[in-house]
Amino acid sequence: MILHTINKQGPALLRALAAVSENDTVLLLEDGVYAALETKEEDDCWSMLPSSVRRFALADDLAARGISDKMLSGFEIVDWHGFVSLSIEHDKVVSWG
Amino acid sequence: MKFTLVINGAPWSSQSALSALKFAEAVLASGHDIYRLFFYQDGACNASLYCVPPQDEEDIPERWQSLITKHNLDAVVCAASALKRGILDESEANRYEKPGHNLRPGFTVSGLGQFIDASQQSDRVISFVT
Amino acid sequence: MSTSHYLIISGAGPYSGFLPRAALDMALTAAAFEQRVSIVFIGDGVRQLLKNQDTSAQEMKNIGKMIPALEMYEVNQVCLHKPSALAANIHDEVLIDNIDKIDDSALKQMISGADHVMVF
Repeated sequence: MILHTINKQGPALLRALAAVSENDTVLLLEDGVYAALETKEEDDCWSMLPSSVRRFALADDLAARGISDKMLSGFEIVDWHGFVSLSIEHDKVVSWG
Repeated sequence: MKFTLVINGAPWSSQSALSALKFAEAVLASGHDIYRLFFYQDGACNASLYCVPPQDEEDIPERWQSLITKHNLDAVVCAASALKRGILDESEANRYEKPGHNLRPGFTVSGLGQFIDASQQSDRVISFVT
Repeated sequence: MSTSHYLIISGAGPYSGFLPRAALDMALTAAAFEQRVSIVFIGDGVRQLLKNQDTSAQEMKNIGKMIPALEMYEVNQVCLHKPSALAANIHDEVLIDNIDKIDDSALKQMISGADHVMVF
């Protein structure tokens, strides 16, 4: 099980999501948290992921950007300690940027 | 658990360096260990003694130094990355006949092999990318 | 030192900044330490593998010339992410020789199997 961290939208996000497998986890941080916002259906990049993939967004980055209350359902908010815990729960961490 | 963190971003050029710092603080606060901090590419700039940020901004290099000193962390700056970006310890400054040296106390300069070693010795390797 | 498998993912264009060299340096260092090393060129990174790069006028180090040396320095696998090449309309005849082509499924397997994955 791999924890994939993604810190931006655009091609980096899509490349990261293409590499996500069953039971992996995605954590959005920095500008990556914008990808957790509700968007038009045709721009939805999350529906292609297996349902076993958990999705997280870093609390402090959501707050910094003023979007804490605008997230898609299916995302959990996590703090820095939670990020540390996730990194321990998974076999390795792959950071996409 | 033992962590190695790779810091690739310069302070303030992106959020990356500060994210790494906050993660490092959380690792230690959670009772885990940091085997090594490895500053690579633009990350070498975090080791500069000569950055003077505005008073109302986080002094990221200073915070790294404090964290390293307080917890006796092994903070390695990739030599090639450092030289290219003008981060020199005293011996390199002498060697390359530069007028000053600016590597912060607590940091050492070494080769990329230190990352390979750290990745072998650690339970988790987390890279903070730009 | 024990042997681990390092997967380097190189996703930036050849002259976009420091990322391509950072990826190559890491791959070469891991190989020098007798580790198992794979490097995959993905996204804009596939452009690092184009033949006939001529950087003389721009006075930059030629990334295209460094790629064939990877095998010589014992980087075990040098791969091109085929979907990225197709998206960039890049076909085999313009690419450096002797590069393995992999698809998404193979990339996922490489990521899963590697001990360390570093993305540049």
